[in-house]
Amino acid sequence: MTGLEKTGKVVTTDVLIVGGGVGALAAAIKAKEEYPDVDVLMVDKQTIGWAGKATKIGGFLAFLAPGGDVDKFVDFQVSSAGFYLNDQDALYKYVRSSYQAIEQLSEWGANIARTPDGKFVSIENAFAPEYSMTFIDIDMMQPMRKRANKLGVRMQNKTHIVDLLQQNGRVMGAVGFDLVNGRFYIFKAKSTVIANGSCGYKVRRFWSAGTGDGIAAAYKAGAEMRNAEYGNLYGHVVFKDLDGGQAGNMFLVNALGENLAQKYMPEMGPAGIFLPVKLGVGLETEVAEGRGPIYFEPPAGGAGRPGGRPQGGEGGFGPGLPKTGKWNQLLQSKADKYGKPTPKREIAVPLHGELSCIRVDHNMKTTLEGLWAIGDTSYAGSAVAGAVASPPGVTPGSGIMFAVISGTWGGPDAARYTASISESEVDPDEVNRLKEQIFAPMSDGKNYSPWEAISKLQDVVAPMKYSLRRSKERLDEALSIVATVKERLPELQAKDFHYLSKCHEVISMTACAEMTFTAALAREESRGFHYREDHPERDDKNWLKWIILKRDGDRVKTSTEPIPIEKYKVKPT
Amino acid sequence: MDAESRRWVKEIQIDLDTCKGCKNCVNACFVDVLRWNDEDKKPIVAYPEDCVWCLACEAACPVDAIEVVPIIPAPLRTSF
Repeated sequence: MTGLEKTGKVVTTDVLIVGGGVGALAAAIKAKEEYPDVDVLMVDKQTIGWAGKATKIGGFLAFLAPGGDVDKFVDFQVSSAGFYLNDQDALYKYVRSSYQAIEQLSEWGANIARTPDGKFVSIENAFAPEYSMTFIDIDMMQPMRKRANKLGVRMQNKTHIVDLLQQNGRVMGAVGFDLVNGRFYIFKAKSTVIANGSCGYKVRRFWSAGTGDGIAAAYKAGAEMRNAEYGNLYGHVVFKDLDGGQAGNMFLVNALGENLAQKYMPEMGPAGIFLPVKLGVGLETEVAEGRGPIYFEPPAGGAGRPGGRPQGGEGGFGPGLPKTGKWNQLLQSKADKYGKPTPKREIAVPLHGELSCIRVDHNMKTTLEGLWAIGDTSYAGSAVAGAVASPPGVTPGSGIMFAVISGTWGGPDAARYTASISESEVDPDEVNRLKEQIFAPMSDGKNYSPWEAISKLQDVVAPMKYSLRRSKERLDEALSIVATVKERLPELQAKDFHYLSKCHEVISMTACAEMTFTAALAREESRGFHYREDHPERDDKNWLKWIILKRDGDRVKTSTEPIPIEKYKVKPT
Repeated sequence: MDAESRRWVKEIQIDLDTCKGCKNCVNACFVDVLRWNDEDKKPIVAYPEDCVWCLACEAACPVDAIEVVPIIPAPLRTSF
């Protein structure tokens, strides 16, 4: 038995994929299809094929239909949603891959809504010219999982990967532990793909799995981050009693009955399904000035949709999506059985956390040798979408799409790389040090409950005054609150391995909050979903730049990088 | 805020007599609420404090042996 094997269970592979959601599966399948001799191992904190958010809040697929005008779409996206913070080359590559991704999902066995004559349902997307929308059933990952299994992809569940292993500047795998029995694992890999999602701080029900574990691991290892100031948005207006449904933006009224879209955005037509910054700040003002709460008051007979998802079953958007239909019925039945009808429906606009800031190139490779990042770990960091939290990124319906498309880019690239790498040893002392750190919350004398830490983090990430209506003063305040959590992280207490996982989620979420607020403080202008009350205008003269973050000891080091706008097609006018 | 005051569900009821032991519910849970009892081959409600009534377990159960009882109104964090 070597020194390493005394420390934990050593598992060797070529490509380690950290995550078990739709993007991770796409990466694994494509890697194995293109490089059958390469060993691929997927590891997830929960169960591969059920993990992540795609089966909870996915369902929409946005794509450019064959024959669609790519230039027109890119022009709209860059000038009206990404506000020039896009990597336009990456955006072109993404958009051109989108229809192929729908076909790919269908070929893998996912159930996509079809018309009676067998074509994909294709609905014009009102929010982005040239984009179309279709719908996918909730069980999309089951056939993908079967396919991955058939191809020989290995899978390990209930294993929380905490840290990356590095030697001579190259990532060589990762370490983590089994949530059930606490066994420590050392995964030795020639290439590693981070694919375990964004950070949503557990504010919303269906985003509970997104705790930024992969993002934090990459950050700790020294990977660069980009567009981290675009980690938060207030995406959905929901029914407050359920954190469910989509009330939309047009029929919101204050306690006096005034329509707030008309009050705050009189010049605008239908505002889309995501809450515009101006209206968000308006809702906050209404409540702060005593005219809350905010209610949903549609014209007679109108109603919000219960699940906030495409409606399967008869009469819905997605005929032929039986699993989605059943699930929506279940959600509605709970609301009917356990909720209390009220004469007026109060709404909430909860934080929609989607930090996805790992910087990647056009093949989803990070700035670290041997490390790739896909899906919701790197959607914003890819700069495909620009100045908007990603997902929703490019357009509603791009979460699953980006996960699958980036997986099909990153998985094979990571597999290709392994041919040039020989197996090398990892430092047992370093592994021991990481093991001690990982299990530290299990030792005696700790007194910081992970629930208390999560609550404190939510105190600072959830309110609009920190995450939407920003100012230097409030961002400093936010960072000082995050710092109080950070100081107490060494005291985190875990009573078992489930709670040990929660402690590491807290550590990851703390790093994510620090990164977002640090980047937001650095960007002294307003652009897209980043709004600074003390710098309310967009400043193309000084801020056509990406903010790059990198760990420097215990602090976040900030730098900027000019956007190569001269080489791109779409330029500010 | 402690675990109790931020809970999304009151309880998760599993009828172990009806349960066929297929493990679908345990697999479907994306936040480690349900665990598997290897001895009697049945699920265990191990961490109900983490349940967010996504209902994936109910939807996955072939014999309707699970009932998640949500807390409504939800303990949703305010933005204002």
